[in-house]
Amino acid sequence: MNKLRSIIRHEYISIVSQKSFWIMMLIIPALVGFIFAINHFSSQSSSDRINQIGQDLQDVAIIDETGLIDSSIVEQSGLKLHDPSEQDSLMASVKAGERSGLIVYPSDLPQTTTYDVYLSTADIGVMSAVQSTAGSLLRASVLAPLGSPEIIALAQTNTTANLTFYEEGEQTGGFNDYIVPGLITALFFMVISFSMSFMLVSISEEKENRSMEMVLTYVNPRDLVIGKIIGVTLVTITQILFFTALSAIAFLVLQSGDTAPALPLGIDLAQIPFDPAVIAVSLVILLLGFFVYAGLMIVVASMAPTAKEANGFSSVFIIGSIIPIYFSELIITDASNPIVGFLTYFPLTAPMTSLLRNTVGSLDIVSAIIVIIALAVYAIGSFYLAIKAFRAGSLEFAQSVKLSQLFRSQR
Amino acid sequence: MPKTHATPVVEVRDFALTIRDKKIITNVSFTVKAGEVLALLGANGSGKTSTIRSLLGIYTASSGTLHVNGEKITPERSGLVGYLPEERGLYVRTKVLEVMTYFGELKGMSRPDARAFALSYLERVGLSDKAGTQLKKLSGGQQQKIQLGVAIMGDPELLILDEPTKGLDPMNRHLLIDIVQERQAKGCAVIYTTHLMEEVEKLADSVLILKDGTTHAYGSVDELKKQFKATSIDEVFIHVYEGADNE
Repeated sequence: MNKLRSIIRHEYISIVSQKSFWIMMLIIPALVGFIFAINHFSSQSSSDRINQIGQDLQDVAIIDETGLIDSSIVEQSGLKLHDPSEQDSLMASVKAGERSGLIVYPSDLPQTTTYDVYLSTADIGVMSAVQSTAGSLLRASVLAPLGSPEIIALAQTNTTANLTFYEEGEQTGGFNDYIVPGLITALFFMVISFSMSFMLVSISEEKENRSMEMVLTYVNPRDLVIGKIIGVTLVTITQILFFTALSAIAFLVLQSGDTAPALPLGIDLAQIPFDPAVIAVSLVILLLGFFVYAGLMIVVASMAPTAKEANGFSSVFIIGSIIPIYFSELIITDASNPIVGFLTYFPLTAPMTSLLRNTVGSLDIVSAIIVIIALAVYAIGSFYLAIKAFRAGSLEFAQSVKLSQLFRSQR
Repeated sequence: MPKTHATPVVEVRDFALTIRDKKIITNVSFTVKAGEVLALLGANGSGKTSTIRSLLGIYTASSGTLHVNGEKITPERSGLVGYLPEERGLYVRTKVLEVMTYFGELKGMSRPDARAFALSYLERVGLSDKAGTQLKKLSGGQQQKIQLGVAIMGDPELLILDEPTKGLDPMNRHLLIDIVQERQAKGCAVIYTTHLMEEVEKLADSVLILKDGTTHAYGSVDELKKQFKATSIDEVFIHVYEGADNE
């Protein structure tokens, strides 16, 4: 027991004491925050610039062959409607660079829904501003017969629906219900992406630096494997707690500002439910899925002679965990589909598929129990294989262990 | 003079090992008493490392017995043994003191005892200022000193050194020989494999020469010289390998 504790501590400390671990832990949220900030400020800046350009482009000419464009709206925007007979001369002035642009609404616009814009420059800002002006003039003119400016504004606005959901006569939280299990699903993805490499390195490094034989003199291979799994699990929990704390801080900071960001799909953070059964099922699936993959990583690392080879081979398994994401639409909308059934119970895809299904509420209690039992069996099988592979391959420094050798080890 | 006792620390009887249907060792027997140094000799692939791994319980013998102090070695009893494998290395990204303490714990020492031993060993070999340094920042010779320190942690009753002088600089070779003799004087049994016959003459009480997994010569240094009418263990070794080929 003392040795197991020492192994766990060694595995944990040797990972979390590395500078690279904390650099990676900080880089990820910093990168997400940076991208978010850049996107926010660039879209704000881009919108401001397009508005500014729009104000500067008062020489853009407009030809309307449809009779749909309202001349008073054109005048309000500071532009001028021209007669279709002037098109050639206006085109010539645009070509010569004497005029910024020309918008032509052709007579067949109602059929083709296409109009022409001619520009004297390929500047994307100018292009966006003129296109935006052309679209606004058309929409405003078409809606002008409605009369009321409020109604016209309403027709041009992206309206918002207040969503209320019912299930079997009871009001439910709708998308709010998906938040917590959805976050656990995202967490599984994160765990597989990061922690599995720790598991792989933990074994490969001991083989490569030749400390394995010294360790195995004093420790049972089974205890070493278990110690490594628990050590890496604790590292994963540290990561989860760290990212959760950072997310909570970011959320509180954003909420405390004057302009709290609006969330899509009617998500109301104050209304997020915490259903213990749903959360428990997701956490058990996450844990068992982690064990399945941890065992497989030990198999790969034990059988490959070097970290490089182990890394290459492990990606095959990691891709297996991601495959359900490509089928997510099918998984979310049609749980009874045979493909979804296969993905739900196939060892490599079972964790992610069942987590997605639990998120959207399509994993009923019976299916949840079957999935959990199946994953427990897969995890035990994965551990069994891991210990076999470790016994067979931990001291193979020069060549890969063949599958046929797995059950004929001398250890 | 080395302290020796009648009761063997190591007792190997009729040991055989087959790995993946291939016979590696056939019918090997030997003993090593307390305070005795056994040189286990043989060409590459003769079965030296496999014999050591089986003695340590890393490999499971196909037949025969391999006992240390009357019982098989298990991880629970592994504190009896100090082992320096041929394929050796330590955690290069971990600090020296932490590596030594970890191995001390794996050998069954308490954490404070392991730290205390490590610090005193580092002091002895002039590396006390490197206790907080990552192993990868140490020179090759300094790393070898640490490996040797790890092997002798916990005052083992049996020291197994597989090609211990391979890659050692002269300073560390002296240190190793000093440590082996010091352990021997304290009654520690030593099994030692090497290709350097002058070391054998200097350190070994008895010699076992393996060839193709079987014992071709076994006895004290003097007995073998007499048996093979040789003036040195080097000649005995050559006789075993080349003589047998010429027959």
